[in-house]
Amino acid sequence: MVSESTSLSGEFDMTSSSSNQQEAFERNRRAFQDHLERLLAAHEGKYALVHAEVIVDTFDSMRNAYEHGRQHFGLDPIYIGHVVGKPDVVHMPTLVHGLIHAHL
Amino acid sequence: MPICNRGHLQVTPAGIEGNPSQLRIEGARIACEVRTDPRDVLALQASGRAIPPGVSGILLVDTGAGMTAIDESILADLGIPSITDTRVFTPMGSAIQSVYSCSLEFPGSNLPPARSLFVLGADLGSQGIVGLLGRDVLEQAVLVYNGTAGGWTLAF
Repeated sequence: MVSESTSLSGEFDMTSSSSNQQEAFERNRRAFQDHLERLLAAHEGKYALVHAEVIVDTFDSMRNAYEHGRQHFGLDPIYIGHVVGKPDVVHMPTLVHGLIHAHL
Repeated sequence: MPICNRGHLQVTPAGIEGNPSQLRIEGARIACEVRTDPRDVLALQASGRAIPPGVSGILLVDTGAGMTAIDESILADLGIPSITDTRVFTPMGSAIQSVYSCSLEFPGSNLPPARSLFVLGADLGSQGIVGLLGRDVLEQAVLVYNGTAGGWTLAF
């Protein structure tokens, strides 16, 4: 069963352009990586919010970091980095062609 | 407690019965609508921009997924920007994939919406689904997969 989506008139655009957005995301990510060693010394386990290549602050949760980012920077590109020595990983065994629809 | 029961039925000489084969083929699927995160909605409204309409489709309940995943093309259509990334391991290896924030609603059921959910962007378009409902959501629920009856139950 698939529901009907709400249809709205008018343009929506959360970013000036997706390529600019991606470039800003990458710059913010690099800024986080550049500061990670220093962050680990004082903020291990926290979530760092990066905006315009500046570490804005650290937060107890990713949700708090995200809320702060949207409240203060609107829709500007942000990056949230987990301040940990060993990066987080996610396991997704189904994310391979054939596993979702595999049957004889 | 909101409860969602889904199942496949078939007509047999004995009457109407569950259809385990169909459940095996399709898996536990539920209709959903992917929407913009409420915090992004506020930011859009503050800047005088329109709110993108939600995108409807089917979610596959996946106890193998450590995190809920949504097709990345849908997130792009909604204009949702990535906010972080993470390394994802699959049987084919690992890769860095983007993470987004969005909301999921479940029309046609009484399940509560999952608002401000961090989801993994993934290429799922060819699978005929919009996403995988992973253990980050399932950890708040009771899931019963009744293979012999051809049905499943999700309760929050």
